[in-house]
Amino acid sequence: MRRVLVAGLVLGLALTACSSDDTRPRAERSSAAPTPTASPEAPAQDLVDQLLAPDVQPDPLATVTGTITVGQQATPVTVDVLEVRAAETSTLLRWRLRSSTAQRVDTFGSSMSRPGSQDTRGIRVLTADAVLQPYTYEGPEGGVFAAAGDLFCACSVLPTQVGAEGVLMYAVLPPMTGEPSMVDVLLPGIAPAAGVPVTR
Amino acid sequence: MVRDLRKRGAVGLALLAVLWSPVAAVGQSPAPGPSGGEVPVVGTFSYNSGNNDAEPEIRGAVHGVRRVPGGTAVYYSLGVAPGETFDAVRTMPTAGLAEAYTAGDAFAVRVLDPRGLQLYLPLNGPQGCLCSMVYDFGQESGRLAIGWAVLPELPAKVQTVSVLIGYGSVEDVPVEEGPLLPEVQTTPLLLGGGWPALPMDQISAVSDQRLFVRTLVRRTADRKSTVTTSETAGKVDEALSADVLFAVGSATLSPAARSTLQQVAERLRARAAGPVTVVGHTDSTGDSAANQALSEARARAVRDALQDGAGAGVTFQASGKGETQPVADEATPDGRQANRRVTVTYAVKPGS
Repeated sequence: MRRVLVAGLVLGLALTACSSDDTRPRAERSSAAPTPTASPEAPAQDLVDQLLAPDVQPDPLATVTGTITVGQQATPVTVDVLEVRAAETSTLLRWRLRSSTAQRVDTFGSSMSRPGSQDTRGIRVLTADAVLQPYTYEGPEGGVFAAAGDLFCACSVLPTQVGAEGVLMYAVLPPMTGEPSMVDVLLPGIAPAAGVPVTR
Repeated sequence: MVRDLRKRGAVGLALLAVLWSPVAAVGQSPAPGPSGGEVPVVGTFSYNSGNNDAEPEIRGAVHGVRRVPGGTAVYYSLGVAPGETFDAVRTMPTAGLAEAYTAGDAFAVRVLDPRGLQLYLPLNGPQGCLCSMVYDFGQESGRLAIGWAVLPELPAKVQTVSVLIGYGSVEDVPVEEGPLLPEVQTTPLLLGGGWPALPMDQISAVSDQRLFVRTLVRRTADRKSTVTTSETAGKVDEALSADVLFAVGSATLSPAARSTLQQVAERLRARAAGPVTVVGHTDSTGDSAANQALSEARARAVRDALQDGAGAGVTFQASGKGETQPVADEATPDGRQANRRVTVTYAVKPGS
């Protein structure tokens, strides 16, 4: 069954400040204390229907292949780049990792991840003048892992295995400078995905 | 700013854009009803249940990141398509050793402030996580169950954040004021049925909210990887590639080094607060003592060049660490190249 790829498709429908066009009588408005909001609204059932609708898989922006190693095992995998979205304070990268064959393959502990953390901070987004890496963050002060530095990542942890369907992955990276229309995406062991269009 | 959803090419989003009513003004909200009412949406997400493509896709939306007394509330909903098997326990990662949470906590809700370089996690107090439990989501498919978490208070200047939720993320989320209303006491709470009543009394019982704030690290490099910059709140570390700055085995700056160091000096002049630390590093090729001497000489060379460019208002300390502090695998050429570097570290002026 084809699946709706709603993932990470941020609606981002933040309203700009605007004058009120709400002409309903005051009694029909919220009787509770006003909840200031700039977010758009939608009927709940419509949102349920949209988000949980039967799947339609949009085409990936780029598909590249490569080999990861788990121990001594070299495994062909495929990476689909699904979205590179430039926001004011960050860049969102969404991608999918899948087996290049019909077989499920091991990915956890592979060469694609950072040793010890299994996250995918090795992913890179390249603009014309910069190389962006995912944000990382440190553990709690004084905690067991305090001395280990930034053990955690604003990016996906590798799954244990992937099949032909593929696991959805993400990374939050610093914002781009300028307004590039295309970027390259790099992953350890994987052929570069060049010329990936950027959405805003 | 309204984005053109139709460019995204995903089924249903164009319809959602049409359904969105532009008449809601800042400061007012359409009357939400107990069922079928309108709900705010600031972003959607999806990820594989259990981070496993053999399991259904979890889909959901973030409905608000909102300042409440003593904290920040994150509201979201999630579910799976009709007919799929919904295992609520698999909707979120399980708490690991580094986490203060317990099994069943829907703790994987984090707010990332890219400008302030801070990451916020759900508060955990005497009565446990100030967040939903995964069991609250129920066991049925074809519906969206509401989840929530209360995180530390965000600084007043924070206006836009990213939300890391489960195994996914949502970008560009505005920070708004006040809890979502009406509040109801229902489990599972489904989208359109109101919003969870937040445990306001438990917020004040959290002894130290700083325990739930993490330092975020931002890393960028120029395209040639001449300079890799790591920045946290208040501190910058610039790693300069020794291969660009120097010839092999030499501590004499190359012609190519001058422009790079001039740019670094300009940043120091603009942002550095207090002394700047310059440290030379080598790979482990060759004699250790020679590497130590080389790293010290290189650090002095970089310091002198930066001092010229940054001016008398910036002070420096220079030293060498030889091959003792590698940052990459010495067994590979790329790793050795990364280890051959000079680092420039400084505190930054507030607001710079």
